[in-house]
Amino acid sequence: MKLKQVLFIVLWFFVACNLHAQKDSVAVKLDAFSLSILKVKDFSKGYSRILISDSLVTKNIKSLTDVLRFNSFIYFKENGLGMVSSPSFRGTNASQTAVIWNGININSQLNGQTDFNIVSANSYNNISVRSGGGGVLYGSGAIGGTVHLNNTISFKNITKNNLLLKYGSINTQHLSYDFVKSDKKNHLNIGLGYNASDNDFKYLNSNLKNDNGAFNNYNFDVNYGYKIDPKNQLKFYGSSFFSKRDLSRTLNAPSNDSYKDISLKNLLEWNRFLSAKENITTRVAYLFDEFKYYDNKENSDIFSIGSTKRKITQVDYNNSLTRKVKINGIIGFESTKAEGTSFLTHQRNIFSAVFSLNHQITNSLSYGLQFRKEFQKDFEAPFLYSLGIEQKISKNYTLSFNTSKNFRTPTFNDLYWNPGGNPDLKSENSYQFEIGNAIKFKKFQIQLNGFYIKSKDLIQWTPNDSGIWSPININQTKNIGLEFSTNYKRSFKNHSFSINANYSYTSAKDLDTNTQLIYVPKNRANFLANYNYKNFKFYYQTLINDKVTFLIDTIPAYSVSNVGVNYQLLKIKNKPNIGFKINNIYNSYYQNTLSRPMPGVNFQLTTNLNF
Amino acid sequence: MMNIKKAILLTVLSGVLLSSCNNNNDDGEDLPKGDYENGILIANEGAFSGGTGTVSFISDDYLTEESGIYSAVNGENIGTILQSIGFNGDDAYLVANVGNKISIADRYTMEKITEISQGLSNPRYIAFANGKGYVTNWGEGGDATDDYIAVVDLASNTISTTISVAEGPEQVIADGNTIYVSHKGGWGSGNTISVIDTTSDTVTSTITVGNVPDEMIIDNSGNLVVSCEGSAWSTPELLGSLVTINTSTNTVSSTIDFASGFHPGNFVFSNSNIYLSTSSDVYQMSESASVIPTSSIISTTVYGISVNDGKIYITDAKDYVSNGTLKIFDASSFVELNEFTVGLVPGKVYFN
Repeated sequence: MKLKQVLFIVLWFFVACNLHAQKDSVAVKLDAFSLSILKVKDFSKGYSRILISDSLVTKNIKSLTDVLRFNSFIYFKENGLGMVSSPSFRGTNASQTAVIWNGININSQLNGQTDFNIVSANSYNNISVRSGGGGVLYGSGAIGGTVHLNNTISFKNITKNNLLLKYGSINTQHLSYDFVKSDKKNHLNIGLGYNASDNDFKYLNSNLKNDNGAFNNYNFDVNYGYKIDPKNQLKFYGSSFFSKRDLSRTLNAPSNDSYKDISLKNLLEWNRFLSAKENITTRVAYLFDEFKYYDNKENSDIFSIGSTKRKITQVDYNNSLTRKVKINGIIGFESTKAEGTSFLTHQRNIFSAVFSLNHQITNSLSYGLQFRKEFQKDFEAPFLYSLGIEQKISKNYTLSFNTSKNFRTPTFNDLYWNPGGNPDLKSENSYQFEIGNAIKFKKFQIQLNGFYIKSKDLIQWTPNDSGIWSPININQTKNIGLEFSTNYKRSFKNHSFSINANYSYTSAKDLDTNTQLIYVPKNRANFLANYNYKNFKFYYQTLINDKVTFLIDTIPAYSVSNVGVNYQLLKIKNKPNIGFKINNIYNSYYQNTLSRPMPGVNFQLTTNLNF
Repeated sequence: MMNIKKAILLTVLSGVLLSSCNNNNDDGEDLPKGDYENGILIANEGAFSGGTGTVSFISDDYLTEESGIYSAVNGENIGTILQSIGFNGDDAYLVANVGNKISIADRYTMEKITEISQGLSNPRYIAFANGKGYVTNWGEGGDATDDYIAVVDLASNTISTTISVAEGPEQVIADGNTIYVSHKGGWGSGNTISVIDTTSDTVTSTITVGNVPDEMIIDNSGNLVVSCEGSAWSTPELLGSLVTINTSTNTVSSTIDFASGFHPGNFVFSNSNIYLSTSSDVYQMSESASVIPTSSIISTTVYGISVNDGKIYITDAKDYVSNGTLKIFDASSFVELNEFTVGLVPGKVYFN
C-alpha cells in the first residue's frame, strides 16, 4: 500500500477517535426485509450476511458490480469496465453463486451465471449478500453464496418521487427516476433507468485506450401490490432490462465485437393469510432472457443468438405451529425452453419440493433445517439439505455451526452445445461446513466465519478424443477460508462516523493438481469509512485484492480507493443532494482480468432530488 | 577500490574472447547470426482471453531452452493467438490471429523490425512469392463475403492490396509465381483451392477438392497435395480425403478417400514421406502410396506436428490451461528422444 493511502486512513481513524459521544445512530438506513430474505434468515442459521443499503447503491450507481465489489466478500471477474462481470464467493465459480430476484433464482439457464453488469443497480429496494450454502431452497447454484435483489411492497401511506442524475469521466451518464405511491390498499412503484458510457479511457502505462468499450442500458420496472382484503394480497413484480455493449479490447488484441442483452422478469404473487399463524403464497413467474453476439458490430446481419423462456409456478406454505416452531413447505414446477444458434431447441421441466423447519429450543439455542429435492426426466438430482445451529453464549456473542449439501445442475450449454455438449453430465455436488462467531454491541459488530467446501464432479470443458471441446465431470476442489467483517458507528452532536470492513482469506485448490484455482485471490479486503457533519457526508472506500492466476499468467495484486462527498442543499426546495466522487484517487494501475486494465483516476458528479 | 586481481583477470579474459573472435574470422567461419540460431522455434498460441502468443527456443544440442523469447528480447507481446510464423529470408513473420497483427522480427535474434497492424482481419497464414507476402484473412468467421488475401509489400511491410476470395481462406503455399489457398471454410466448411497469379494478384482459377481442405505441400514431383480433413461434428459427417493436384494444369489428378471417423488435423511432408496425424496417432505413408496406412507409427497426444532432418516433433497442448510439451521422436525408429515443457497451447515448430 502506498504511504499516501496509509496516511489517509490513519487520518480518518484520528478523526473517528476524536468523536466522543453519540446521539443518534448513523443515517445508513436499511429497509425492511422482504419475504425471500426472511426465509433464509429463519431457516438457515449462522451464515454471514451483508446488507447493501440504498446509500451505498447511490454512491456506486455505475454498476451493481461496483457496489458489491467494494462492499461485500464477492470477487468479480469483470472483463473490462462495464463488460461481462461474473461473481465468485469463497473461491467457487460464477455458476456456483445464485442470484435471487424476489425469491426466484435468476441465473442464466444457458451458462449458469448472472452477469452483474446487466442487472440494474437502481431497481431494488434492498440488496443483500449471503455467503455459504444456506440457500438450499433456491436450488441449483447456491454453493458459494446467494445474492438477493428484492423489491418491497408495503401498504402504508407513501408518496415519493426520486430523481438521480449522474455525470462522470469518459462521458458516463446515469439517469434514474423512482416513483412510489401507496396507501392502505394499493402500492405502486415505477422505476426508470438509463446508463451510458463512452468508456474509452486511456490505459495507464500504455499508448492504448479502451477501444470499443462503449455501453448503454435501459431499465423499466413496475411493482404493484393490491390488498384485496385483510386476508388476501396480490403483488406483481415486473422488471425489464435492455443492454448494448461493445466488447472492449485487451492489451493483446483489438476488438470490434458487440453484445445485446434483453432480460424480462414478471412475477405475480398471491399471499393468503389463512390465520394469524398460517399463510400460503402462490407465485407464477415468466422470465425471458436473450443475448445476441455480434462478431463485428458493423455487420448487424451476422450474429449468434440464444434465448430462454422460463415459466415458474410455486405454492409456498408457512405455518408457525407454536411460538417456537415454524415450518415452511414449497412445491414448485418450472419449465424452461432454450433456443439458440449453437444448439437446437430444448426444454427442461423440473418439479421441486422444499421443506424447512425452524425450532427455537431455548431462548439461546435454535436450529434450522432445510431439505430440497428436484425431479426431472433423464437426470438424477441429488437430495439437498442444510442444518444450522445457533447458540447464544452471552448477550453479545453468538456461536453457530452449519452444514449443507448443495449442487449445480448442468446448463443448457453444457448439455446441448453443438458441437461438444454432453447430455450425460451429472450435477456438480458440494458438501460444506461453517462455523460462525457473531459479536454484537450497540456501536460495534464483528462476524467471523470459517468455512470448508468440498466439491466434486465439477464440470470442465476440455477437448475430447476427436479434438472437440466438450464438458465432463472431472474436477474436485477443496476450499477453506475465513470471512471477517466488522462495523463500527459513533455519533456526537452533528457528527457521525461509521466504518465497515470485510476481509476474506480463501484457499481454493484443485485436488488433482494441488494448485490454487484460477481467478481466486487468497486475500481480499474492502473498507468503507463514512463521516457525516450536518448536511455534509464524506466517504472513503478501498478495495485490496490479492494476486490471482489465470492459466499461465499472474495478475498482480492491487488496491484501489475512491473518495466522495455529498452535500444536501437545505435551503433549496425539496432539499436536493449533490455529490462529487473521485474514483481511483491514487491513479492505481490494475487489472481485473488478464490484459484488461481498469481506469485511472476519474470523476463523477451526482444530483439526487426527492420531491 | 578495484581488486587488482579481478582487473587483470578481466583484461586477460577479454583478450581471450577478442582473439577467439578474430580466430573465427580468420578461419572464414560465419559469425553467429543470433542467440536463436541452430535450434528450433515453437509457436505457442497462448490464451484466447487476453493472452498473448509466445515463442519458445530449444537449441539443436538440447542444452538451451528458453521461453517467451520474443517478449524477452523486445519487451512487448506478439498478441493474442500466435497462429503461425512465416519466413522470408532472415525475417520471421509472426501472425497473431485474434491480435490482428503481424510482428516482423529477425528469426535468429528475435529483434523486432516492424509490425503490420493495419489491414488485417483474422489473419491465419503467410506465404511469400514474387517478392511479396500473401496473408490469408478470414474476416468474421461467419461472414462469407469479407474473406481476402492481404498482399504485403515486403519493402515497406505494409498491405499494398487485397484479393477477395471465397469463405475461410486458411493455408497458403507458393509454387513459383503462383500461390494456392485452401478454403477450410471459416465457421462452416469449404471445399476449394484458390489459385492466385502473383504477377496480376488475381484469382485465376478455383479447384474443387474434398471437404475442409487445410494443409498443402508440394511433393517431389511438383504436385500440390491437399489434406481435406472433413468434419466429425457435422451432421451427417463430412468425409475427408487426400487430393493431389497437377500444378501445370491446376486440375485434380488423384484422390484418396479417408475412412469414416478419420479426420487428420495435421499433414506434413518430409523426405518423400507424408505424415498425417489425428489427435492421438501419427500415420506415415510414402508420397507415392495410394492407400492410407491402417496402423500408426506413433501413438501419443498430438496438437501440432513437424518433421525435419530425421526427427518428428510433436506438440501436446495438454489441458489447454497449463503449459504444453514438445516430444521429439526419431523418424526411422519412432523412439522418443526427448521431451520439453514449452508454452501454452504449442502449435507449430520451425527450424532455425
